[in-house]
Amino acid sequence: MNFQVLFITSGLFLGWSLGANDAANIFGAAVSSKIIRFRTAAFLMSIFIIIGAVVSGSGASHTLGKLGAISKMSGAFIVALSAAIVVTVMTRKGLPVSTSQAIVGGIVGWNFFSKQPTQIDVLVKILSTWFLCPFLAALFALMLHRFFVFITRKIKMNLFRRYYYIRLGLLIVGSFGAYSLGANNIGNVMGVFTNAFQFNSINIFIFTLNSTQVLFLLGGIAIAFGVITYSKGVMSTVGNQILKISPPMALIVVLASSLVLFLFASQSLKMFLVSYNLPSLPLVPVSSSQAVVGSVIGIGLSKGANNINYKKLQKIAMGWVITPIAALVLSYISLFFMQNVFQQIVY
Amino acid sequence: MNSFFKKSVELNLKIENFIDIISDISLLFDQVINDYLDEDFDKYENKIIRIIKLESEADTLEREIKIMLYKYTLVPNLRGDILSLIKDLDNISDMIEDTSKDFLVQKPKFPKILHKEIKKMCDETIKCVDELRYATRSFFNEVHLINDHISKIKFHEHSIDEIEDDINTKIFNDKIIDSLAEKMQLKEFITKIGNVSDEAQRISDKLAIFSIKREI
Repeated sequence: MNFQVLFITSGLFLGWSLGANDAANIFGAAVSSKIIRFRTAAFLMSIFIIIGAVVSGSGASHTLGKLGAISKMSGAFIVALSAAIVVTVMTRKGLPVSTSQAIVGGIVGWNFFSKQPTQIDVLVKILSTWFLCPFLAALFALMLHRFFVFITRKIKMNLFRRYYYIRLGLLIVGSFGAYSLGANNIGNVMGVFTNAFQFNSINIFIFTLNSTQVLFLLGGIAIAFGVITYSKGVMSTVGNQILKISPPMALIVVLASSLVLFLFASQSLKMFLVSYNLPSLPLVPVSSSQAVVGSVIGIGLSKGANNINYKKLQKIAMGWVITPIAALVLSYISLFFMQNVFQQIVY
Repeated sequence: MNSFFKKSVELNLKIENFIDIISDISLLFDQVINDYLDEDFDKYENKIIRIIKLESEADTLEREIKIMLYKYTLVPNLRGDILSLIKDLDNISDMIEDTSKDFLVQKPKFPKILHKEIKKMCDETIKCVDELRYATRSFFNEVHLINDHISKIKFHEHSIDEIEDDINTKIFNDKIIDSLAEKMQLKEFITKIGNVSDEAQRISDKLAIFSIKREI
């Protein structure tokens, strides 16, 4: 058990970093424009990230498990650590990075090292979501923007009341965003440990948490800790650069991005769509930052602006290549060291 | 929630009231100039007294709005913009009050030949302030309509500038006034009337930016 805790520290670190960076995608605009106090935002985010992770986290993390079933805790430790290092280094260098893409690289690195076959269909499914995520976010944002413009012109509402509803909307949508972030991105943080982690079920009041849910609870707490300890600075400096937009636009951006994260995380929604023979999306952890960029572009398109920032898109596409390759290489090398220097069984 | 709505309704009412007072002051200003030029001195003095009273009411409302904005408004950025808008609107009433008082104290003598144009200038000034009133209301209630009013303000302001230039040319070139001191005095009065619409246009430019900031 002690070793298990030691090994999941890399995942917890990855969770902390995710919380510190990605909270700005959800509450950045609201907090930096002082519509919502940081304390309120951090409280709501922490609660809903943990709920999202524990309640709906298994869907997206299951797909990662199919990509590479890491059976040993030491192997999972290295995969998560490699992803965390790549994310940290690339963030420090100001390069576009997504935890989702780093962890995929790390897992494929483990597959190479352990000579396990990488399921190409799963990999293709995951890679397709990297394109789909910003695309869908743009589509949702475009539709939501049109709808909001229509509604505000239809309903004459006083400025003060409008701001009251926008604030209320940002609180509700932000909480939904935090839930979706927890549900979708817990797979990045703890997904690699699910096959190797063994823990007895625990009872909390009327709920019983199984081994995976305990793992996700810990991961959720790590993300929440990142939100509370470090995201304030990110929100007021780097984090909200993407989101320098008006509060009503922030509401649309956060709603569109959260919907995308939710679509890629919710098992019940997938089952619902499948039961009606509707096209469903694969449950995969996706990047909230890229969903936000997609949403901002969607609003731009809806407003008829032709000023799409292609450089930003190029940077995102560059991240699709650099991040997984860097994580793959680092994971492979680190696994070699773990096995041969520290004498740990990594697969 | 109820308390917030009550407060927002109260604040909105005060702002509406404030805008109405500014509009009334501008209407009275037009009448003051007309009465003055028609040498109906009793009427014009009474109207100046009414302008002074209304201006003082506007000042009281301005203070109350400021206090309410600081106490209850949720967004600092929105609060700043509204405060600056209210202060600028109050500038218009200050300008009108000052000019009216100057008429009372200095009693400038405008040659009859200029009366028609001065009256036209005042008429356009009223239209300009009226459009500003609509633009301000749109900012608070229907922001997408604001640009219609802003373009009308620009149109009226341009007409006023043209009339102002015409009057000044006549004052200095048409040999209708002998003394240079008198010419300078009349020019100053014309400039002061013109300043009201200049201020209205400046506020409308600000309103355009405020509305862009709040666009969806």
